[in-house]
Amino acid sequence: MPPTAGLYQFGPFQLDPREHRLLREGVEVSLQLKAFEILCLLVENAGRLIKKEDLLERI
Amino acid sequence: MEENNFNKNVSLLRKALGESATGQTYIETVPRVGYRFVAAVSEIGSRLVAPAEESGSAASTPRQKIQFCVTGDGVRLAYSSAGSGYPLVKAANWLNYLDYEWDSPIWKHWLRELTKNNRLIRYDERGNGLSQWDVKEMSLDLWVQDLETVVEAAGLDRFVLLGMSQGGAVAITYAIRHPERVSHLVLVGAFSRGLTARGTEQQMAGRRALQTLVRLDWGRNNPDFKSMFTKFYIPQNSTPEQHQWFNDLQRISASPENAARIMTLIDEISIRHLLPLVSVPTIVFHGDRDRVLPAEEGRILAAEIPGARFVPLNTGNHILLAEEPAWRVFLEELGAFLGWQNNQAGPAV
Repeated sequence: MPPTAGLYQFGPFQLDPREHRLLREGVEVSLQLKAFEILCLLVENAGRLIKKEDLLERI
Repeated sequence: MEENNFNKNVSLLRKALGESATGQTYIETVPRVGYRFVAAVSEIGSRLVAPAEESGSAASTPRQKIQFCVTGDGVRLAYSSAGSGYPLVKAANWLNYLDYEWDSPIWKHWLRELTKNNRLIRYDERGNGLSQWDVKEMSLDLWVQDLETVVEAAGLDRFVLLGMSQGGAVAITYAIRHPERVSHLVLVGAFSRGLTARGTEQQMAGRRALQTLVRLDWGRNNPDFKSMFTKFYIPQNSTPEQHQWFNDLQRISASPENAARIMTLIDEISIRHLLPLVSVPTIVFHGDRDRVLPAEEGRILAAEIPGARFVPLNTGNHILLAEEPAWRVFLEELGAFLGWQNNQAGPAV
């Protein structure tokens, strides 16, 4: 599955980047768009250090 | 994006993930360089689903069916039925909410386990949860009548009766009135003497102050006050999430006035003299460091109910949580008492 199509699980959370949804144990967590985009970038690159300047550029 | 704005969004994100509330770090900041997502991430299927819908858990977490019935004095009660097998009725306890409890980390494991071998019937007692809040009368006798009404509405002849906390006093009274209906009596963190009958003058003064605070503050979203309650009920190894659910459960389950009324009635319970009249097979569970009801209250029940078994639980929690070893002990002992290995056939009495 290509990373952009994936759904992600971490701890009690499930993340759907395409649908812009974040669930905590099945319950919707509301998150502003920009914060959500940051989360998606970090999760899709989990474990990798992302430079702040790259994040600023992409969000 | 502006750097200030970006920092603000990262901080919002950390808050949404509950980093400071849970102590779990998801996003590591590498100073002057950038960020790294440090929690373990796995890719899952193609559609987001609530945990209850995931494969495997659907079979073990049945749906509950909520219905209503009306008591002899005209109070509307909500009751629910879930699972199949020999019926197990849970008497109401300190603040219930049928719907909200179903997925809560405080009650979910209870509901899942108790529906594995039995049809579980629960209800919200008068004045709280989905039942009628605006009620004229409340008393131990009426709580027993609430239970009688639910048993009739659900069409039950004979069943296991579970009483937790003050639900224990309701269950004991019911079992004495209807011994032919109760095949097994299960008491958990229960008592026969409310604070009025067992407390010191100092404890009573503290309790009166607490009742005043409940009347004043219950609905005012005072986190200190609510977390104080929670720390009494589940002080041991509980997560911030469990605390939040317990806090919310109290806030949404009853009005301040009803909560204070129920509290007063709980304190006035005094049924120790009835204990020798219980004639059904009984098992008594009690946490040895229970902060809500001292372990002595469980020992009194087991000592004075003829033939009762006592199972001390190594816990400080009034409501057992899924992760603690005492929960496993509880399930094993309860399963042995109810003959769960012979499920569906109904317990041998």
